[in-house]
Amino acid sequence: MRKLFILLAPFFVIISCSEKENKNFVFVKGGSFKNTNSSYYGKDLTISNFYIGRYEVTQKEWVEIMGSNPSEFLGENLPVENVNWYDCVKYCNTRSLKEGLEPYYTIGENKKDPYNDNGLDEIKWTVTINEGANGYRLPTEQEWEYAAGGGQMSKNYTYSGSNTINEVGYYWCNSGEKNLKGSDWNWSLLQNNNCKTKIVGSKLPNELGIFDISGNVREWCYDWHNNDTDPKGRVLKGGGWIGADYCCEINFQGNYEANGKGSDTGFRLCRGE
Amino acid sequence: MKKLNFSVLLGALIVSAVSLTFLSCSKDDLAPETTNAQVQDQIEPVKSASPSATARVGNQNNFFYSIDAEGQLGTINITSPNGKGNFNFTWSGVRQVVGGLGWSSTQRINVGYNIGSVTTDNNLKFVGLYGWTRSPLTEYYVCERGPGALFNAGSAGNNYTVNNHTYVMTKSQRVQQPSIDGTKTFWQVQGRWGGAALNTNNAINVGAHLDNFKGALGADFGLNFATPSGGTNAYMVFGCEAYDYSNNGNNRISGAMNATIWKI
Repeated sequence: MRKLFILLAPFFVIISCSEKENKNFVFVKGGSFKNTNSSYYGKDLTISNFYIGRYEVTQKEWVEIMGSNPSEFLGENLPVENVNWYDCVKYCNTRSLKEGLEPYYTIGENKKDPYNDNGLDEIKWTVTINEGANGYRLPTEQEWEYAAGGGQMSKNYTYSGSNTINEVGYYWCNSGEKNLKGSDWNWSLLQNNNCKTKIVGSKLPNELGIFDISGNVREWCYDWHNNDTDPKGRVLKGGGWIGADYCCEINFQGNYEANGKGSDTGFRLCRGE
Repeated sequence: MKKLNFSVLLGALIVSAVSLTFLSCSKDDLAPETTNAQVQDQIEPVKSASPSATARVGNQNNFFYSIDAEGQLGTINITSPNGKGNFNFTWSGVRQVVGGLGWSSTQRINVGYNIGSVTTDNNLKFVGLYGWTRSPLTEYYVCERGPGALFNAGSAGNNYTVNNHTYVMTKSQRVQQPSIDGTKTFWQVQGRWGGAALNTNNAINVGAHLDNFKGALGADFGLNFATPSGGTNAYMVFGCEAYDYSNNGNNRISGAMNATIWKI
């Protein structure tokens, strides 16, 4: 009987998980930061429950909603890239409307945001939050880092899901034909090695079952960055195929002007509980 | 028999459940990767730096070397025969080339140098110290000989004096370009003296140059020269840059440089 219970246990786990999770989203149970590598560890913060994309938004998902594909490296299951922060919040709202959800953002395309004084950003839309709306949104930096660190299931990894970047993420050394570890970063070296994005979900997931949260493409978060030495911009997390391994550590805060694009820049969806 | 049937049934159930789990978790319509990046035909790849067989950047005998040719044209090579700071850098069949020997971190030291020989044609634009700093990313040049490194639409900074030489500063912002931090907007800055003679010992006070660059890049734009954990890109190299973009970019250049560097 005990053997039978053990054999049947996975059914119950699968059934109970399926209530809160689906193929593309992972339920993240909230709480305080457990991963000591997180920049938020030890701070008096409690993250609420939320859902986060199991994968980075793919080109297939982007084209279904937006119609065209901005990516440099083409493939339905490659992450969408070459999208700026404004493109991403617009995608969130457009997809929400298409799926009958309440848009999470109010986007003032004709209203310049006075807070944004970055001369390189000619877009400067004013984007505000509709608190409580059930639509898709970008994760906050705290939510992203909490999920990347494994949430309440954290095993205290440096990268999301491992202390070895090669197991969980694509960065400049392993995103091409040869492994470039041992060399110093050099753009020509990456070009020669045919480095590029990879199909989502092709490395190991983290403790919560989330893929590519370290590496592949850097992921836009909602927040403004807090680095006073860089021009005003939004936070990018997780590092991408162009950047160094340290960019893939869960606590690394990348930043970029909100209208910035690149073939290493994409995003992951999020939703409230 | 009854026991056998139950086992078979249970086995079938498990197999089905596992299959269903995999099916529900698998990504559908996995399409093959393709790229719209253009493939360049008939380009001879750059030969690697010595002693490494694959890398054009690397470390040897406590020195860091870096050589690069624009568009992967031609042949470039660097050797450091005595391992004590003397090096030979050669290039041929390239449109633009940059390279030299230095250290794998930016340090506020005095760098001693002696340029033994360097090509004298008009394609030589820069001989001096160059490198990267991080947080925020900055690419910097201290030009000791030649008219100065290639900049895109550089603007003027304040002139300054270091080691009894007057340097003319230019700066340029590289917008949304690849970097070790990913695609970024970052600054290039250069101080140019340009008067260094051959076979003469000279010095570059790195810290003094960096302080002047910091002042030129804006009050809220600090320079942090610490090498981050795992990061290796705060290097500084003494070398040269040469290029010829005339004749619609069809010209190719060759040249060589020999120099010795040391820490003072």
